[in-house]
Amino acid sequence: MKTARLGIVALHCITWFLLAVVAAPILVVLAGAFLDPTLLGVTTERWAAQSSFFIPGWFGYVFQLYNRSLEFSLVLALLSVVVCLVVSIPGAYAIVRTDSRASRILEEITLLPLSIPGIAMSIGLIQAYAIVRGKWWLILCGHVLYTIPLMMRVITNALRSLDLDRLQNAAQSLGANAWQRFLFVIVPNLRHSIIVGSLLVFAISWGEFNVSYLLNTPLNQTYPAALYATYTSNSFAVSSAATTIFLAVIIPVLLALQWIGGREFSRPEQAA
Amino acid sequence: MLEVRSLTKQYGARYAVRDFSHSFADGKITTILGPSGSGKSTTLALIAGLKEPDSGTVHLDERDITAVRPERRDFGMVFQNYSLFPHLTVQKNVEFGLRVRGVSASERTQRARETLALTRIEHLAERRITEISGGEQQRVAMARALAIRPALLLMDEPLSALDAKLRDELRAELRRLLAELAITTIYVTHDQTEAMSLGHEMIIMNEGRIEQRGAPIDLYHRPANLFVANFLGDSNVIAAECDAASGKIRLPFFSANGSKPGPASKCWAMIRPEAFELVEKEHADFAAIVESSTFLGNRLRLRLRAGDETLIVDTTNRISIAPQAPIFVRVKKEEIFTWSR
Amino acid sequence: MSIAKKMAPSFPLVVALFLLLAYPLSLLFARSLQDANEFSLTNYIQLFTDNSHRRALFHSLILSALVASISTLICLAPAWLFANEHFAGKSLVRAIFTLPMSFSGIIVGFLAVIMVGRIGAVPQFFEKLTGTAYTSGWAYRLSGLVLAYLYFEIPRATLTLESALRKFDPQLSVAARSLGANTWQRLRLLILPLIWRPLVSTFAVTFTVSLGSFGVALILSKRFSVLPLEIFQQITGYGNNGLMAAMAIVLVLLAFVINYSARATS
Repeated sequence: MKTARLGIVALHCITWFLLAVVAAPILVVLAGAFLDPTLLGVTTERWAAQSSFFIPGWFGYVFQLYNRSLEFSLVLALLSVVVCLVVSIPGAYAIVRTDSRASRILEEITLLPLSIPGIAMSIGLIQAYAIVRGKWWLILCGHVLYTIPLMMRVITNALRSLDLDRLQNAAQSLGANAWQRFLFVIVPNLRHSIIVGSLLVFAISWGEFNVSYLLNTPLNQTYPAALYATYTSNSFAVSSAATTIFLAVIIPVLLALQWIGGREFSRPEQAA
Repeated sequence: MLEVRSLTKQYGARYAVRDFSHSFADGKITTILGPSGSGKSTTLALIAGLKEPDSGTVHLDERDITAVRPERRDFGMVFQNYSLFPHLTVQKNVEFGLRVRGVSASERTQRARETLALTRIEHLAERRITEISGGEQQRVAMARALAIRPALLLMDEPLSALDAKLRDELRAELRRLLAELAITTIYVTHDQTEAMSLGHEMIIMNEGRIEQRGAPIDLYHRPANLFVANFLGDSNVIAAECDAASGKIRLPFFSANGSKPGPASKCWAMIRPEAFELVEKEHADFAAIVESSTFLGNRLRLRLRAGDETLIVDTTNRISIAPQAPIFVRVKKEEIFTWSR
Repeated sequence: MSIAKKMAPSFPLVVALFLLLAYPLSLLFARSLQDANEFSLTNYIQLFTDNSHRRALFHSLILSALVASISTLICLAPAWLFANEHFAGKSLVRAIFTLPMSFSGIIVGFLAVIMVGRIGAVPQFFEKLTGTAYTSGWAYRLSGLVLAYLYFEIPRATLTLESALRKFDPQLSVAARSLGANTWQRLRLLILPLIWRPLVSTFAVTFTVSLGSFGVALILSKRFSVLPLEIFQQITGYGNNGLMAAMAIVLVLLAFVINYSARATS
C-alpha cells in the first residue's frame, strides 16, 4: 500500500514536470511580448531601444503589416466552420442511420485525411488543380479537407449516442415528415456537438499551415504563413508579438473546447 | 480457524468498522448482513488484507496474519462485479491463481478443468469473458477463487448483480457446492433472504458495529435490539409495559401473560406478522379495523388498526377481507418478544 | 427506405471527398509513376537512390520512431493520472496539457527557438544560475528537433492513452492480488497485456503525425533533413512533378502502413 502511494507521487512528479515543459514556452512568449524583450534574447533590437516603454508598439507594427493575413485567416476559419457544418451534419446523419457496409466504408474514407501528412495532400491539390493555384478558395479546400473528418467524428459520435431510431419513431408517430424530423428533432439534439465541432474546426483552420503554406500567394496569405515570415526575418520582438496574437485567438478557443466539450473532441490526430 | 479481534477502521471521524471481534466457524458459512454503509464490505477487506486496520488483529489457526500482505494470505475472493480478467479466456482466468503460485502448466490445466466441472461450466473453458452471460461469469469467478484451494472463501455480495430468478437458482447451487466442499466461507450481503438461507451463522452489522450474531433463526425470533428487529423481516414493534415478576406484558390494545419473565416496566414488544391469527370473536384477544389488504401471492398482508396502533398482519390468502370491516385477532403469546426500552 | 435513399444526405460529403481527396491522391499516384508522360519507376528509383533523398527518408523514420517511443512511454504517467485519479486543479492541468496539440507547427518551431535557441530562455536561465549557457543552440540540432516534436506529441499521446486507460478497471488489480499475484506479477500478467494495444496505437498515431510534420521542420531543421522538407525544396526549386509526387506518395504510404498495421494488432 505504501508502494502504491509512492507510485502515485512519481506519476504526479512526471506529470507536473511535463506540465511545466508545456506551459513554459507559452509563458516566456507572453512575458517577452508584454514585459521585456530581453527575455527573448532581444538585445540589439532597435525596437528595444525605441519601444521598451511602449510595448504595444510592436503589436501595432504587426497589425499594420499583417492585418490582411489576420482577416484572411479569420474568414477562412469561419468559412471552414460553415462548410464543415453544411457537409457534415447531413453526411453524419446519412452514415449513422444507414449503418450498412457502404456507410461504414464512407466513414472510414472520411477519416482518411487525418492519416495523410498535410504537405503530401497540398502537393496533390497543387498538381490536381494547377490552373486555379493562386485562388484563395483552394486554400479553403485544403482547410476543409482536414477539418471535415474532425467535425464528422464529433457529430457521428453524438448521433450514435442519441438512439436515432427511437426518436424518429416518436416523431413519426406525431406526424412529422423527414425534413421536420431532421430539423426539429435531430439538429436541436446536436447543439452541443455542433458547438464543440465548430470550435475545433475553427482552431484547426486558424493554425493550419501544412496544407495551406504551399497554396499561399503574396496576395492571399494565411496568418500562420505570415508568422513564418516574421520568424525568418530575425526580429524576435515582432515574432513574439505576432505569435502572441496567434495564441490570443487560439488559446481561448481551446480552453472553451475543454470546458464545453470534455471527452468528445479529445481525439488527437492531426498535425503540426 | 479464522479469528478476528477488535478490528477497527476509521475514515476521519467516521468509524467504518468498530471493534469487530469474532471466531468464524470452521467449514461453515458465516454471513454478514447489514444496510449499506454498515461496514460489512470493509470488514471483509480487512480480513482479506486489502485494507489495513487502524487497530485489531486477524488470526488464522493461531497465527497472527494481520501484517501479512493480501497476496500471501491464501484466501479466495469473489467480488460483486466478478472482476474477471478481460484479456484471458475462462480457462486462463481460472488458472491465474495457480499460475502466480508457480504451478506447472499441465497441472494448472488439470486443476482448472476440475474446478470448472465443479461449477458446471467446463463447456465454456475456451470462451472469452465478454461472450458469456452474467450467471456464467459468476460461476467463473467462483471457479477462479476455488481453483487455488483456499483456506478461506470471502464473498462480497457475489449475487447482487444478477436478476432475481437467477439469483435464487445460483443461491441454491452455491449452498450445495459450499456444503460439499466444506470450506470456511464469509459471505457479505445486504439481502436478508440470502443471509438467512445461506448462513449457518449470521452477523448483523450496523454503523461499523456488530448488532447481533447467531443462527439465523435465533436472530429472527429473538432480536437483541430494535435495529435487528426492524431490519430482519417485518415486524410490529410496540411500546409496552412489562412486569418482570409476573411476566405480564401490557400492550395498548391488549394484555398478555408472557411465557417467561421479561424486562421490568418499560419495554418494546415485537410481534411478527405471522404470529397473528384471524379468529371468531369469542377466541379473539382484541378487535381491529382493516385499513388495507395486499395480495402477495402466497399470503395476504393486512394493515390493521387497533386503537392507536397500526399492525401488519399476514394471513393465508384464502379469505376475502372487506376494508374498514372489523376483524378479530389472536396473538400467539409465545411469539411475543420483549426487551427493555 | 432503400440504402441509396438513406445515404442521400451524404451527397455533399461524397462530392467533397472525391474532389479534395480521391482525385488529387489518384493523380498524385499516377504522376509518381510517370516520367515524361510515360509509365516508369524512375521517380521512385531516384527517390531511393539519391543520397540526400534517402537520408531525408531515413532521418524522418528515425526521428518519428524516437519521438513516438519517448512520448508513448512518458505519457503513461499523466494519462494514468488523468484517467484514474482526482486531484485539485485537474481540469486546468488537463486543459493546459492539451493546448499544444492544436498549435501550428511553425509556432512550435518558434517556441523551440525561444526556449533553446542560441540565446533562448533556458540557456539564459542556466547562464544566470551557473555561468555556462547549457542547451544553447539546441534548437537547430537533433535534440531541439526532438524536443519540439515532443512538445506537440505529448498532449496527443496523453489523450490517446487516457481514453484507453480509463477503461481499466482497478478492481481487476484487487482480484489479482486476492489470487496471490505480487506487484511484479500483476504488472506482467495483467496490466501489460491490457495496455499493450493502447500503447501500440498511441505509438502509431504519434509516429505518423511526426512523420508528416512540416512546420517545425521548416523552422528548425537546418542540418537535419527530413522528407517533408525535401518535398518542399523540390517545389520551391521548380523540381520535377513526378519526383515530388513520388515523395508525397511514399509519405502517404508510410503513414498508412503504420496506422493500419497498428489497427490490425488491436
